[in-house]
Amino acid sequence: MEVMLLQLFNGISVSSILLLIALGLAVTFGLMNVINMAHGEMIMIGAYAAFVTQNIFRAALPGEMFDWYFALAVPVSFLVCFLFGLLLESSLIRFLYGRPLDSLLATWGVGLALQQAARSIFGAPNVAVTSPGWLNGGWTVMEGVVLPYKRLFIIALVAVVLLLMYVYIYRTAEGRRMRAVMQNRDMAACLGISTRRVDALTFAVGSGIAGIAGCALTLIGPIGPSIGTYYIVDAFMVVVLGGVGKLIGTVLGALGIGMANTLFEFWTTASLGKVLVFLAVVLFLQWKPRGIIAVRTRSLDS
Amino acid sequence: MLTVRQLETGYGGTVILRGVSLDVKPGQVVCLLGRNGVGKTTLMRGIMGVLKARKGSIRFKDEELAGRPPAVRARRGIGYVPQGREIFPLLTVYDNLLLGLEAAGGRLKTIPEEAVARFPTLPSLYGRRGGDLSGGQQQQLAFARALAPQPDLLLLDEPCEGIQPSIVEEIRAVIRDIKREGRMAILLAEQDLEFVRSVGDYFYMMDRGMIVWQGEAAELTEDVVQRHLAV
Repeated sequence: MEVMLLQLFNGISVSSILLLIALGLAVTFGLMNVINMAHGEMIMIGAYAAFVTQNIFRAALPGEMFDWYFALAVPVSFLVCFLFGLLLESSLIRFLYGRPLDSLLATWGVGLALQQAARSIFGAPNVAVTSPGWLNGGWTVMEGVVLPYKRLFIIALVAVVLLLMYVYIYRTAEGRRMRAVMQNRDMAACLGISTRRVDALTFAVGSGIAGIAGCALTLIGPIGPSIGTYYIVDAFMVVVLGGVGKLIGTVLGALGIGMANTLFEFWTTASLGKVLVFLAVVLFLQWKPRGIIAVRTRSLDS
Repeated sequence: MLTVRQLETGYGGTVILRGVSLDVKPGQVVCLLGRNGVGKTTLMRGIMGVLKARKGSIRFKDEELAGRPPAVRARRGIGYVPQGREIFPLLTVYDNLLLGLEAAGGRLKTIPEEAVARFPTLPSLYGRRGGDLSGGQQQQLAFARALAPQPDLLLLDEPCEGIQPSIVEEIRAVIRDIKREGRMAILLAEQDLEFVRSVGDYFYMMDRGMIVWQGEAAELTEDVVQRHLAV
């Protein structure tokens, strides 16, 4: 019983982390069709933004305030990556729409440059971010089943980010413009929508969400300049498995991979589990190449 | 109001329009006639800016628009009902209409009554997805969407193509209404001779990417029709 509950919780926890790192990519790759290899580096920038916020709190504010740095680190990470995304889109990505191979190479190069920049600024070794005190410990559900607060916090954070994304995409004028441009770029322009502005904003939002993911990753381990490369494959796997173009697909993709990962690792070993998950994803995509949720629109078909 | 001079445009390396000139005066209904594939849609797309002009000028309300993107042209007051209607398939009918207001640039917060009043069945469809509507319903929606920002010039590209007769009659009535009010000019590309005769003030005939004939209703004789439209 305890083992079952713990495995279930682990599965959800892994899924929530996968989802968080994939959500930003679901926007830049899923909605905009930019093969964004620099997504992992946006996560890295978000993580370092949290690290810097922590250091500023430690240096400038009294000790009792320190525990609250994390509440500020989340929006700071979002904002920093949002601005980075804006810069990247307007200086590079916008020249590469409709050229997937070029954007793949260019964003990969940007990723390498950002990694090196991080190495130059923060040094090559990993740095640790101290989790705030209120996230230490866990919630004892029953004898032998303790759910760490950090993991619960990440699950809650994912839920909040998902909700905000849903509201933004489906309930605001900005989101309506975004969906219109993604569905029929020419017609959206003919109605008076500035597609340039929508592209820049959408890419920036996707990058900002990657920043939040980076911020959350500081809770589960030390961070380094190449942290993004560990997650980029998983992120692409989640988005492709879920189906390009719909949020709910990304959620299901993350849940599928996260749960399968936990179960296979429980039944076999850590490395064999990963291989089995990868095999399962490959087989699934052979059967359904468009992923779990397939959106059929003319704009995506062409 | 709209003055097109020596417009050249096309797709990729292929030039389709070879020096087209035409005029639309305020409140006028100007019709563009011609067989399939002579460049009517290309001209519409060129005026709207979906296709970039290689040469020539497009002046609208004393402003040169030839180099400007489509969004700017829409905001200056050109409404567009494209061939194939181009409704956003995954957005609701209401969202599609709200997107029509983008060209008003914040001047309008809600959809003007008159844009929808001409199509009384639309409000009952507000919650449906655009892609789920029938062709006729999509055409009504495309009209209402183009009328929502109260444009000064409306480009209509084959609005009657593949539409059931009752909605064709509705569209005819709408065009006549607009004409009577006199606030909006219309450039209408259409193959149905009976339809254009019933609404048009001035006519241009196209063939192979050029204007080959122009004149008023009385001059649009059987002879002209035989020469340029008969297959």
